[in-house]
Amino acid sequence: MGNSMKILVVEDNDRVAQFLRKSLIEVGHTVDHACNGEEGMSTACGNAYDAIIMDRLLPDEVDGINIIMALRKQGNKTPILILSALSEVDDRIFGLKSGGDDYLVKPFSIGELLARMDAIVRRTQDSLSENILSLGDLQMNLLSHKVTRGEKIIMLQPREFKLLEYLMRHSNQVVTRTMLLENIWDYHFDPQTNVIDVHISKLRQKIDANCEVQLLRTIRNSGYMLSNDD
Amino acid sequence: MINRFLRLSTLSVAAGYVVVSLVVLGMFAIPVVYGWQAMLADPKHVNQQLVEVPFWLGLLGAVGMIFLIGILGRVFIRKALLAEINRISTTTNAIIGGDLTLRLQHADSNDELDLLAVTVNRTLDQIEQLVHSNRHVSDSIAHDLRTPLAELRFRLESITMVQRPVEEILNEIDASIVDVDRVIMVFNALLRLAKIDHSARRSGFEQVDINKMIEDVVDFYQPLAEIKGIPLTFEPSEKICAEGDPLLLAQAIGNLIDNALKYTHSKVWIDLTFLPASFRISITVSDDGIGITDEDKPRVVERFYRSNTSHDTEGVGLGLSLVSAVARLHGGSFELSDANPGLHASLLIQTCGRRTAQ
Repeated sequence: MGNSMKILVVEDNDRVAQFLRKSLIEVGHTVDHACNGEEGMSTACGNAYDAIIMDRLLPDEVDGINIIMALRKQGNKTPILILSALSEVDDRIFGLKSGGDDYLVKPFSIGELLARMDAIVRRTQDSLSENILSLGDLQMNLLSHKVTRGEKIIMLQPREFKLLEYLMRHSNQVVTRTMLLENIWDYHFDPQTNVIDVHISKLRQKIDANCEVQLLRTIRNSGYMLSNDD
Repeated sequence: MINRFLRLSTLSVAAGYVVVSLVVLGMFAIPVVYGWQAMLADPKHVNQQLVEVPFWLGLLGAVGMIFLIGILGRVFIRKALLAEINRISTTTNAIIGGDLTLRLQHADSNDELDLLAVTVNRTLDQIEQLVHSNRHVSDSIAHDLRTPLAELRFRLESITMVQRPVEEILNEIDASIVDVDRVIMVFNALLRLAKIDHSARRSGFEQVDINKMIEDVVDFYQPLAEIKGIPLTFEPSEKICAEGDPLLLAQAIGNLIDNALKYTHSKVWIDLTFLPASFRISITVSDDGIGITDEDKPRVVERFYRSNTSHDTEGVGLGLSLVSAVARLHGGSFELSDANPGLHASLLIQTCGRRTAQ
């Protein structure tokens, strides 16, 4: 959130492309658009982007997956988010194996898209090697599994610990329910009931109870964010 | 009944051949007997012509008769067969025309044509049932999607009709997004079901540690159970592995747990057992809630079916359809039985019989 990125959108459907462009520009990003595979390939090679949004199925011979593989072969490490109408786990695995950083199934919400863009751009930037994560007065030690808020020691169950670790690693970023499902539990389906909300509210009771600053916030229509900004 | 005529003509051809054989035998017999007598009377002057002529005549006549009867037989059998085939094709044409209730006629005589008719009829039963359930599904889709769409339309319309405070407008828009999400959810669930039904997902199969898979799902649903104050328990058994799609199995068990938590009074528990006789694993999710009536039991797996008791709870009526489809994909079945009070919902899946010891 906040930092402006230069994004390439490779999408053949005009309406989807316009919609993406508008939404991305509204939140402060700069957007280039390529409407077919060849144009996408040459634009991606000729310019430096912070991220690429790639439609998987493009009309010509050069489809999204081919472009990604070609870019990766050339050593291009730009984070790529694949958009696709193919929702099966196999399709997803194939997309990620070919070099995509994340895979989003159509129809998607713009909140989901923005959150995932943020996540893949940050992932390439920060290292996972830290042992202590902290946000404001909330601290978690990944080795000793000790979590504290100010002076208070917080006892977490293993699942709550994993949830908090993910939120800490993506602090000040919107994290959607599907992102949590996929990254923490590795489940790629909608549970009938919104179990994630319950997980979050349990965690919130533990880390935010009796505290002035509420760290774990609900973001309207999108998901959650762990943040100490006002 | 259909091939009485056929059987009759086959019989008559066989009888014809018996008659011909007798005639031929007779014709051969005449010259032989004649020659024998002539030889006995005067061994030195046997009139060769007297023996030869009837012999050749007899042979020729016999060959002629065989041809004649062969041709007649062919004509008869062909006619009978064609009549049968015509009858079949008339019926099938009528079925193609749209009347799925028609069936081929057959006797209980167990001959090949009857067996064929029985098989075709069974196929037709299956097709009729599929078409019927498809119709039911499209009706339900229409109904289930129309409701949120109508609501959505109404909301959006009402926003534009009169000036409202911004906060109110935003709330209406949020509610509209919820409506749209519901429609998308139904579509996703249907697509997933269709994929599973076409067994396209066997590619996701791997060795699954069933205990671990269940423990993870239980852990995932535990907070929901805690919030409702319901103990959700699972005692892992000895290590059991099976070939399967871990994600689909997790989703199926999740749906069962979710349902059990919705309807139970005081507890939900899960049992995992290996059934050595049938090489199956049974994963049973039980609760002590209101249960499902015997009348409803076979119907709850139908797409969009919702019993009278479940109408006031949220959900789209596809959860148990998914469980049943997952069971079928794993060569098993989904069974419901009474727990008095409550319900045992069992997902049975096939294993290759290997039970990995510690």
